[in-house]
Amino acid sequence: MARLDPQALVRHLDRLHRAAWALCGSREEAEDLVQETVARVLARPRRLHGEDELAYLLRALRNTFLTTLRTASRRPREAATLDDVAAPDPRTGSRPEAVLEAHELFAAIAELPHDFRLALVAVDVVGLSYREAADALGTREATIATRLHRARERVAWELTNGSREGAGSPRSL
Amino acid sequence: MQPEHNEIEPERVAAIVAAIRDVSVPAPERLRRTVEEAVAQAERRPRGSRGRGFRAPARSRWRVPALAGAALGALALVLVIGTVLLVSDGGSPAPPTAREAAAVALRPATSAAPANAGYEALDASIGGTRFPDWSEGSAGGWRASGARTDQVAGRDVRTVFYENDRGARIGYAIAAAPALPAAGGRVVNRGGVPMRIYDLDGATAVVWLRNGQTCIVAGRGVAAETLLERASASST
Repeated sequence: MARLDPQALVRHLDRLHRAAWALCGSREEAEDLVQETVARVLARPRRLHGEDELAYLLRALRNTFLTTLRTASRRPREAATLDDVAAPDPRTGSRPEAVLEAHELFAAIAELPHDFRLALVAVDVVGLSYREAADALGTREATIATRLHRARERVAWELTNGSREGAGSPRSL
Repeated sequence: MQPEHNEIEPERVAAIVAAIRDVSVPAPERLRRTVEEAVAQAERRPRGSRGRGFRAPARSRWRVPALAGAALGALALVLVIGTVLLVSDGGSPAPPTAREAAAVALRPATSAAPANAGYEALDASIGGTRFPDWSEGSAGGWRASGARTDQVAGRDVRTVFYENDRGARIGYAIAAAPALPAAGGRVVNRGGVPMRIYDLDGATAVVWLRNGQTCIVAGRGVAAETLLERASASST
């Protein structure tokens, strides 16, 4: 049985941090969550039970998130800063008009119910397949597909009509 | 969150999903250093041993200078700036020009500002060249507000951002040695140091050399003379 390479934490740090940010809705709380997850994972040797190391780390992040949720939810949210602006990645040839700020996207995701949030984070933020996401979150692929569909619609609704309702036109993508 | 969202068009949902997948914000540098150190500690432990060898520091403790001065870890940040990605398959990247590196100084910060290290310097450097503290003294009024680290065409570039009370913002970038090729722009001489001024799509950048390393100060809506003053204040 393969052993988790501790360096996987470094290799996947950017994605883990983005996943934590989307789960918490706060970049600062995301740092705490990632640190706590790292501490737990490194506390003893870990074995991959046939799963991808990224899926394993997402499961660890999710478990830590759920464990610490009550404490984290008591912390006041901090205002978004310039640090939170997402830079479009020119390597992907990504659409130049598709610039939403990361803090807006992740704040909308963080408002989702837990199950929807975890499904969206697993697939759209971390990049797992439905199957990997199902394994990591301990559910079925069909359940992931359903939750993901609803989560995406809710986030789109929130970003189109939610906090900006009455403030002018919807956010341009 | 509103329960009724049936009116959202599929194209809109698809665009939002694409935007989520496009987010490429890297982990903060201080978090990366902490994780790298924790992993290194874990790898040094005897195999099979258990125990919580890594204590996650409280976030607030990261604000103290002691950790801000922690050893620089390997930087995995790979943000590529516009047209700067010039690496050919299997080859070494062509060095970026000073003008290309200057674009970094106009980007958003991705980590907290470095702490003051005394002697009008911040606790941040690259290749031994420290960033200045402009918050006090004759150069007062510009507080460090953030930082970022990039690789531009394979060359490490570290940037510290400064803001004044009027909300103006300057990025001060230093590229790892050797000096970057620089051409064009307008050249002026300040205190015996040649400085090159570039117009970057409405922003202004001043480029000069310190200790053989290319330094850049750049800002939008900041007068070239102000940038020259900042550059002159740390030209040696």
